[in-house]
Amino acid sequence: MEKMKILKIISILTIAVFLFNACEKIDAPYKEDGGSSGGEAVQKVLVEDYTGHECVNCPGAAVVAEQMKDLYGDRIVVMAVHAGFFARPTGDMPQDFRTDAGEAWDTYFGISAAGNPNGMINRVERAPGDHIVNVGEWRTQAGIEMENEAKIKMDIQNNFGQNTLTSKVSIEFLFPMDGKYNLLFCITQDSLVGPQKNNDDNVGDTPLIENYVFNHVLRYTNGVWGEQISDNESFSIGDKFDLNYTVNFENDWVPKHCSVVAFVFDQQTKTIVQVEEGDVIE
Amino acid sequence: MMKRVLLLVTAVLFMGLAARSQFSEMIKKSEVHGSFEFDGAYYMPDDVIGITDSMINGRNFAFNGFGNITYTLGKFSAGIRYEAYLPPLAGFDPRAEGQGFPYIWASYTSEKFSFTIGNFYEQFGNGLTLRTYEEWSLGYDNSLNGARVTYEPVRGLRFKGVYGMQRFYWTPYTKNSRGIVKGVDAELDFNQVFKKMSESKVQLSIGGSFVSKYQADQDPLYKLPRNVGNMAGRLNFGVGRFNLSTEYAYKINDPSAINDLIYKEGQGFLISATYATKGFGLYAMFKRYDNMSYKSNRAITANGLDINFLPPNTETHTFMLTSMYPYNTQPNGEIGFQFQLNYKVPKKSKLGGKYGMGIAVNYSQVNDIVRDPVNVPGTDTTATGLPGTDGWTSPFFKFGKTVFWQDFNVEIDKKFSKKFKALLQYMYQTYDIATLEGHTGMPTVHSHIAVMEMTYKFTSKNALRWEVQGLWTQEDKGDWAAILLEFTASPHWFVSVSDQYNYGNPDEDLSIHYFTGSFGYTYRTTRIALTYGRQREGIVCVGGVCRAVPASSGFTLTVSSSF
Repeated sequence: MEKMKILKIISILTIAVFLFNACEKIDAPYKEDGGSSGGEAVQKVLVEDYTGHECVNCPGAAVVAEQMKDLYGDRIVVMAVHAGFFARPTGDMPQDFRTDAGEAWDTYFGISAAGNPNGMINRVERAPGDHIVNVGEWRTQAGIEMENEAKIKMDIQNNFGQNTLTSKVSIEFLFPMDGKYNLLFCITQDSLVGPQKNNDDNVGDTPLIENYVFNHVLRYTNGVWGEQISDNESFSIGDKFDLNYTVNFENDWVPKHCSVVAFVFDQQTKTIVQVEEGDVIE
Repeated sequence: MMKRVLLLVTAVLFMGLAARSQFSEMIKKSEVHGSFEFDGAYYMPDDVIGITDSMINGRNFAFNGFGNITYTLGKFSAGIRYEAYLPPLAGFDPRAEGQGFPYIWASYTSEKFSFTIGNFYEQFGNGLTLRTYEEWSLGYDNSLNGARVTYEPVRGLRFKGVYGMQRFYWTPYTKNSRGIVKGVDAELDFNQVFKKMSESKVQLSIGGSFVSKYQADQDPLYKLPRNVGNMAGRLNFGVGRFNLSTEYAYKINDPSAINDLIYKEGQGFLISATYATKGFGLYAMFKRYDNMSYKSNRAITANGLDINFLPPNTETHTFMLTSMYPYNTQPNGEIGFQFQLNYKVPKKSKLGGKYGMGIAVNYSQVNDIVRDPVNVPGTDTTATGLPGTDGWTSPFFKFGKTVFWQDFNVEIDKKFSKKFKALLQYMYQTYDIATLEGHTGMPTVHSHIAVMEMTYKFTSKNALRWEVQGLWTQEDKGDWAAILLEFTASPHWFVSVSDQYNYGNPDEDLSIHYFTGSFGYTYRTTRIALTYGRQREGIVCVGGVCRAVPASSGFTLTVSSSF
């Protein structure tokens, strides 16, 4: 009987402790203070937003990406990849922002097969074969990535004239590293205007935003997987490489709205080591 | 020396014989049970429904399979389940691709206690605080991996405690990858506990549960609660032919991707009543959910990691066209009710004939809740649901203007003779396709549906069943007709053909026949079925949880068995 009494008391106390610690009521204001922009040689993060003009939840995801840019400044690089079912042109929405590379990445990583909107944060593999990051986790995963030390420093110098962009991407290794690394050279464009489906009144008109402003839209890449930086498979601190690109602009690419997004990634894991962004016209 | 060796050899032999005898006894008392199912598909291009080789992309074969084995010896039991999705069938989440042993458990059960470690399924009450379950047809599994204890000090008084993390496809648990779930539940059955009530006509039981999830706050923008509690109380009351069941749940602030990061509390309420007597039954139900999504990872929006379950109040339909527009529970807010009347017209009456006649009338409706703006000091806003706010306020019993779902149906079934029986069903349905399927901008579908099903038994073993169905609507894909013929040669064989024809599609090129042919063999608990044909695009829902099914064409093979 004594043992039963003690057992009952312990059980009641355990349950009481459990109940008192199991609820956390947050009082307003609900927002944290903002973070700081990076200085030199900081880890930057590529937020890839896989989207489409027929995707009703995608404007909400674009808002999240912009909030991240506001919070972290140039430490966050956003790239909106129009790919998959919801990006296909239709009779009412003939605009086509898809690219061959964007479609190939979408198929390879299985993004839109898992539903839109979805994305990737530095293409980190979270589980074998799973690189997908739900919109609700973008901020968290980006924050985790930004805590890493930068292993590579990148710089972009752009020169634009006579409808042609010449660009030099400089890469410097800050840590010894082994493996094969590729550089993807991309051009993104802001301020493209067109119809976008939407189901969130807080973001815009529903069911359709007639003159939606598309930003960070992927327009060009140097192939699906870019090019290998060097034949080396072992890099030392201070190793430097310059890669040069010349791109003739299409008629509907507006130079003052375009940026170069370049990122270095591990050929085997596809994880991005560093990313940099530079305006086409400074 | 020799004596010692002889003694040792004798002892070893004796021990060996004893162990062998015990082992044999153990084997005799052991029980092994199991089940397995394999679903395979071969997809083919089909120009008519727009399936091309590039869309199939070399993935012509798909395979979903599982095998369960359970071992029981006295009070001890253990089990393991193997699963493989290589790759998963069309419409299943691509993250399901993989194979392994996602479900392993061991359990000890005594008269008053039971302990389980490993993976397990559990439900508290109606599921408003906790329900973990597996639904193979949806590819859904939110099992808990941890520990469960149940304690029944006296018959009729039961306590449960659970602790663990949930399964999310093949993603292993890593620190902060998803939340930790813990919960307690208690239930008291008055009729079993109190002797005075054991013979009473009044049946009474009460219960309560409390569940909490922990997930780290790594969001750089919002202050997120790390511990979110969800509590519920329930009551079941019955007297004679009348029964009442009710449950109320309250959840504290739980900002998530589902509710767009609002800090509003959540509330869930269910009440149902039944009256049943010979040949007559009445059922009524009311429910209301307000911000009741409760997942162990606040960032997930797809099916998965739900800790709780929100019971639907809609009837589940099984015919081809009556199940075309199934209901999808709206955790952010819905309010609804259902009524059902069942009546058996007596045998040998004028209307009932020799065998009687069954009549069922059912009506259900689900609306959005009313959402009024929260008064934020210093602002003048009419917006509701903004991230980082308290969301909205909502009068509890008020119905919002948006009708998500309406279903009125009448079903009559009658056996005319030993060989022939028939069923007739009429249904009127309102389906807010923009909300329920995410097709924003599409008008609500209003449809009339009629079904006639007849079965004729040629002999005691051979029977032919046929269905003729029609769906008439001016929205979505327009009118449909469907027909099914199924011949059964008991106890082993069946063969069927069916066709669903979208003759009323506004686009003539999309007025397509979706034909299928199946045959199958059943032997005791083993069933094999092969189907060839065309699958229309649609959604499959079980208990208000849904999965999209893309259009496809080809063969499917299903093998299932249990032992």
